[in-house]
Amino acid sequence: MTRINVPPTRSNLLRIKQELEFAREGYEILDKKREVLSTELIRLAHDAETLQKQMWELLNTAYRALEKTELTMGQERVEWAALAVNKTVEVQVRAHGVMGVPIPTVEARGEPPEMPYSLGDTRATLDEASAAFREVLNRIPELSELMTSVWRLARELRKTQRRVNALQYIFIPDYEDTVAFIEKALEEREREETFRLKRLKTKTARPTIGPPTREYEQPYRDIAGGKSPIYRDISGGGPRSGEFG
Amino acid sequence: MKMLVIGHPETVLGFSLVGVHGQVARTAEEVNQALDEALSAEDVGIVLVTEDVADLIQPRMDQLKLRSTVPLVVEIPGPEGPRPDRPSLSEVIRRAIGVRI
Repeated sequence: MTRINVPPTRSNLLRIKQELEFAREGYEILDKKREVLSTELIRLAHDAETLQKQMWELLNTAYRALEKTELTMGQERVEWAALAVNKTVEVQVRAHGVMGVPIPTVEARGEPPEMPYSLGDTRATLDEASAAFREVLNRIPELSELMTSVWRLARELRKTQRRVNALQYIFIPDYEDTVAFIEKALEEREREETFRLKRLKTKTARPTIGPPTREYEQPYRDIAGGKSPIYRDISGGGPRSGEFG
Repeated sequence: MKMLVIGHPETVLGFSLVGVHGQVARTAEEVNQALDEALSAEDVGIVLVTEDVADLIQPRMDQLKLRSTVPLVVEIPGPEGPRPDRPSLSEVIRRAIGVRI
């Protein structure tokens, strides 16, 4: 049992109860957030997996085709051919939030021209490489969107999970223990207080019931040489017992 | 908005065949500089960085992948193929949710 180190007072009890309430609310909200994030991630999971695999394969073919082109034409000629390409895919990136996580949506428009270079001084391998990279390029917007979403959602989910766990297994139990401890301590103190009052009552009430006790007979110090009326009055006992009802 | 490639010369050349401009970068400084330019440019929508150079500036890449929306910063494999130490997307998801889907 762990508890926070605070003195068991009534004001601390109130404060900690409030904080516990707050922590419970936070836990509920975070738990909901966790649910939403996992649903979102599971929804994306399948697409992401297949798309990434496809993408890696496409890229691989594209790189191999490019290698071959460079071997047959030389790097410089490939670069020249690339100069002829004047159009490409335009993208529009927008963000919308899922539970405070910015999730991008990518819209793609247009496409690069097919074989814009002169056919006379290029090889067929260049066409292959170009076509392969077109394939890759067409998938890029979707892939970027998915990859970024998955990355961010996963990160946020892990963070939320950690917080939920911290609240559920450490914070809330600690506070509950502390509340229990303070309540016990306060109750114990109350019982002690009642007992003390009872005891005091019997002590002060005794002179009326039984014979005066020696304590009250004895003057503290007889400065008046036994003639002071004050000390003689106290030793009388009796009437003072009315004070505690 | 446009796309932009940063990193391996092969990748940059390949994408230039389909009209995507690129910046060849081999060292951490070059990548950082290219990224700075790409981030400050207004018409860049997606920045593709090859994995081999992304490794050189991993902390910054992680930051960008998580925070930057315009432009989106995405890692793609270089000519050597995807790195074996890269977690695939399903791996990332599995780690986050805690169960295999």
